[in-house]
Amino acid sequence: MSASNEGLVESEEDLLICLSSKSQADNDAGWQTVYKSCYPTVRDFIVRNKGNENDATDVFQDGLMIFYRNLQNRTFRKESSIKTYVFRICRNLWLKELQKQQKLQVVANEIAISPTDDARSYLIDVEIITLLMNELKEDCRRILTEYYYNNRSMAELKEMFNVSSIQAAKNKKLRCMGYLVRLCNERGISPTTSQ
Amino acid sequence: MHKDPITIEEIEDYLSGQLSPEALAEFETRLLEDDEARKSVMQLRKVIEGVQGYAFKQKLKDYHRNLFPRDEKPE
Repeated sequence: MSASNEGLVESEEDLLICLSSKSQADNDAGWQTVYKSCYPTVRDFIVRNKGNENDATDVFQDGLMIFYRNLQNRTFRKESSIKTYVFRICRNLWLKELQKQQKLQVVANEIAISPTDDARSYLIDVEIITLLMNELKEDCRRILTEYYYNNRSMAELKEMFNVSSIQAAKNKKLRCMGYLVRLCNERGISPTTSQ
Repeated sequence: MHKDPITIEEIEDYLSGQLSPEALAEFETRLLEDDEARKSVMQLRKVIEGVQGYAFKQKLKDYHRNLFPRDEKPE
């Protein structure tokens, strides 16, 4: 993938390929490019509208999470540039937040374009899973991350986790996922949003 | 009919499209008849999505530290 000297991806087309790439280097280059080019605009918007830098970072990262998920679900339709799309998600998240804090009287049609319930419950689900992941042992967190996020094969996991066979790697991953699901069930806080 | 709860392994084979046409048909029939199995599939899908979101969020924190070190949040 063509990346500039700073490791940033230049064309929008390459960028989209990178963002969904299974290669970690391309994926990092893509998301860092988005981060670097979109964050300042979002930060300026939030700081100009009753927020501070911490608010900006939180909202921006939530916005990128929604973008990440929309790419995965293929609900990003490339109708606008990535920058415009990300800005709009973040702007809507921030307006919704101001409305919640009653710092802003939002007109009715503004509410209609605010983040969907689906996007909001996704962010809540991720928060729940984050809390539960932090209760797992480091080894489990790593194997789940490597398998589900970095798309590692069982053969790679076998090497990384120094187990005797591919089947042993598979069992280890299943056991860790079992712990996580059990924690969800025990707490009665299983992710509940509908598809 | 289906006394045993559905396993994570079975659900993952289904979600990753690894089932043979016969096994897929059988699995889908079970989902129609078995509320618990259907709930388990929905739950696992959400948990996987949550794990991916968790991992992505860790990445975002790294990117922020790399790209905007000056306004890093005090932990």
